[in-house]
This record gives sequence, C-alpha cells and structure tokens, in this order.
Amino acid sequence: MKYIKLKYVLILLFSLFFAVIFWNFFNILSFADSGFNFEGKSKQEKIYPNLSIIQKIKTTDNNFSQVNISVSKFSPKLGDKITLEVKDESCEKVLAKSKIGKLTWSSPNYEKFKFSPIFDSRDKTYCLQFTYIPKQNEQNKKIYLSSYISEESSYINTGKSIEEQKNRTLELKPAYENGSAWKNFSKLIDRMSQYKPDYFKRCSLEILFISSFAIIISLFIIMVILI
Amino acid sequence: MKDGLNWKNGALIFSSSVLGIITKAPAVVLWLTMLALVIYFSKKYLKIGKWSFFLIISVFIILLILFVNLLFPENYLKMLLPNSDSTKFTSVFQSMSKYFSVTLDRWSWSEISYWGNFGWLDTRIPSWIVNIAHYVEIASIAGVIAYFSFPQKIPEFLPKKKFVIFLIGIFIALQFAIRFADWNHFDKTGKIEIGTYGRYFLPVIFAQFFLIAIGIGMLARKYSIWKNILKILALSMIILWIYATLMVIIPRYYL
Repeated sequence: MKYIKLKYVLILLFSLFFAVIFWNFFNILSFADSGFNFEGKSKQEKIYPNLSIIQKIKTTDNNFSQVNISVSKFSPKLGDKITLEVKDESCEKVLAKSKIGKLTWSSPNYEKFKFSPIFDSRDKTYCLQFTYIPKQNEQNKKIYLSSYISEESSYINTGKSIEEQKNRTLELKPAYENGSAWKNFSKLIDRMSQYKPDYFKRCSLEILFISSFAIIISLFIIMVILI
Repeated sequence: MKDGLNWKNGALIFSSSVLGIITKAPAVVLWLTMLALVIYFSKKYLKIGKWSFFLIISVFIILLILFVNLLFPENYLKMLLPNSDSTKFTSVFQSMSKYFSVTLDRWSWSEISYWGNFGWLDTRIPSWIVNIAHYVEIASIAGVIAYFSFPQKIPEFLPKKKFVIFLIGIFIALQFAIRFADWNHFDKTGKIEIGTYGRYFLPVIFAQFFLIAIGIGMLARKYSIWKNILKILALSMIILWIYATLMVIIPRYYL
C-alpha cells in the first residue's frame, strides 16, 4: 500500500489554512470613519428581545460596508443573534443586512456588522435598525448598547418608547471599503504608516509586510521539503 | 557549551548581557547565567585546587557585582535588593506570602497570554488553541522527566544532559527574575499594578521550544517520528502567528 507523504499533506494543510486566513483578512478590510468621536459620560441603552433600536447616520464616503458598534453583556449561545438592517433615509427600503451570532461573534465589547458594500454612499443618510433575537427559551435576556451625548443625532429604542432620544447617539461608526482588495490593502498600509519614520512608510512598509509573509512561507516549505 | 569557550562565544555572551541590562532590569538574570557559565568553564579549564577555585570565583563575583553596579546608571542591583525603608510590609516573609496569595490565581493568566491570548486588546484567541499548546507542553514535560529518569534510553539524536540542564536553568532563571521583579514592585507599593504579562516571558521562548522538542523526542523515540511531529508543531505555530497578526492585532489597531 502506498502512503501519501507527510510533507505533501503539510504543504496542503498550510496552503489551506493560509488561504482561509488571507481570504478572511481581505474580507474584514473596512475602515471606520475616524470623524465619529464619543465624549462625556456614556449611558447603557437596553435592547429588549425581538425589539429594535433605530438610528440614522450620515456617511462620508462611498462603499459603505460595515457598522462598528459597542455592545455589552452579549455572550451569545447558539441561536442568539443581533441583526442589523441598513435602510434608506425614510427607514422603509432595506438596502443591506447583517447579523452577529455565536459563530461570528468575536469580541466581548465591540461588534462589526459587515454587509455588501453600498457603492454610491457618499453624503447620504441611512437608517440603521438593530434587533436582538435570543433563542426561543431565553426571551428575558437583554443586551446593552452604549450611548453618548451628540447634538445632531437621535435614536429610537422601540423597547422603551417610540419617542426619539434626542441629542444622543449610539456608540457606532460607519466603515468603508476602498473599491478593491489591493486598494483596501494600500489603505491599511497608509494607516499603518502613521507615526512611523519616513523611511518606513507606504512603499517600504508594503515591501516589508509582503516579504515577511513570503519569507515565512518559503522557509516553511523549504523546511518541510528538505529536512 | 558545545564548542567550548572561545572569543566569539565569549563576546556574544558578554555583549548580549550588556545589551540586556541596558534594556530591562530583569536582564540581571543574563549576568547570573553568564556567571554560571564562567564557573562551569573555569572548573573545566583551570587545573587548581578546590579552595583556590572557590577563592577565585568569590573574587570574580564581587568584581562582577561592582562592575554592574557602577557601570549602569539605573543601579539595578540596588533596586533589586530589599530595602527596609521602602517596603510596605513588616517582614520579607509577610511580603512574599502576601504576594503569593495575591498572584497565585494569575499564574495561569500569564501562561495563557504567553501563548497569544491578547487580553489587553480585548481580543482573545479561542481557548481551544491555547489548550492544544498546553497538551503539547504537558507531553513534553513528561518527556523531559523521562529523559532524566531513564538515561540509558535517551535516543542518540537528543542532546547531552549538560545542554538540557542549561536550558532548564535559563527557563527557571527567567521565571525567577520576572517574578522577583514583580514581587519587588509589590513589596514597595503593596499592590499588583501591571502583573506578569505573558510577553515578559518571551525571551525564554527558544529555551522553551528546545525543551519541548527534547521532551517530545524522548517520547517519540525514533528520529523520523520526532522530525514529523516537529514539522507539524512548526506548521501550527506559523499558522497561529499569521492568524494572530492578520485577524487579531491588525484589526484591533488599524480597522
């Protein structure tokens, strides 16, 4: 009986893991709007099961593709989820949907709702509707979103009342893609270049980033094949 | 230790000890390691009596302490010695027992963050990944115990005992140095402020990986099996590094 050599299995596994991680990495490249800042004391806004919290935001760039929001007391079990519906300014037409559940939940405090990019989104207003949907037998669970004072914002927590909470904003930021995977990567390098010395910005950082991965991959393959 | 003491090795040991102590106080442990090597080689090369040897080493230690204490402006040695004026406790015993009772449940936290549980970023690597590292460590500890317990069964491809003892020495010395520095701070302030993050133990990662490889080699017995296990572990570490860099650190800082 002929066996498959371990080195080929390792190279195959390495390529597979590497491809999955890189695929996910390029998928998460959305850049949060740094113009959104939250100051002062925060208030915890309770979201009741199956009821929504709705806020309108104005986007500043094209390719609106993600909303980052601070969520607390959300440690989902299988079946629990928070959904986001991105609607037009009148809060009627759904333009994009996203959800966070047990398998996509990554952080205890900060959630990223990713959706297909809305290409022509610069200077437009969108209506964001968050709904917490727990498992059937855990309907009394609640989660919390942080909110801050903000003069030009307001939101409605339908679990409390249909009245607008004026001059307040949820702690959320829209995030944008940059048009293509390479442009996203270049934007990332731009961000990483900040606070770095001149000789270590953009092109040289790009070369270092790519070559460090290339060297690691090459060394691994050489090690597996030769040793 | 393999090639013996020569100018190249001596210069490397000395320069790394100097660089270390300029960087961080716990690098005093490098000087202690260097001292251990000096004693080892002196015993090997100097053909003199026991008492003469003891006298020479004692003088050397005093000179070394004076050298470190005078040369480096931070005066690390003074900082590391107990000082009755600055302590918050009535005795060293009280201070140490309090320190152990406060930090005992943090030891596992240091270990978990050492393997890449980036707690300070609020971004955690799944616990099952850290558990795999634990199982490998436990297996290799069993292997190292077997290495010393059954010397006649040590495979030929594993290094000699003196190297393994030296690696364990480095490992224990750094553990001791970091805990000592942490306790020293606790003794002066009465509280744990930063604690012993896993990253503080990274300087010992080479020694630890060698020990893991030796332990696994002892269990594997055959060179071909050992080599393949090491390849799989190398693959796992590289994948963990890529995952941590691309999916944890970059998103946390730049997205």
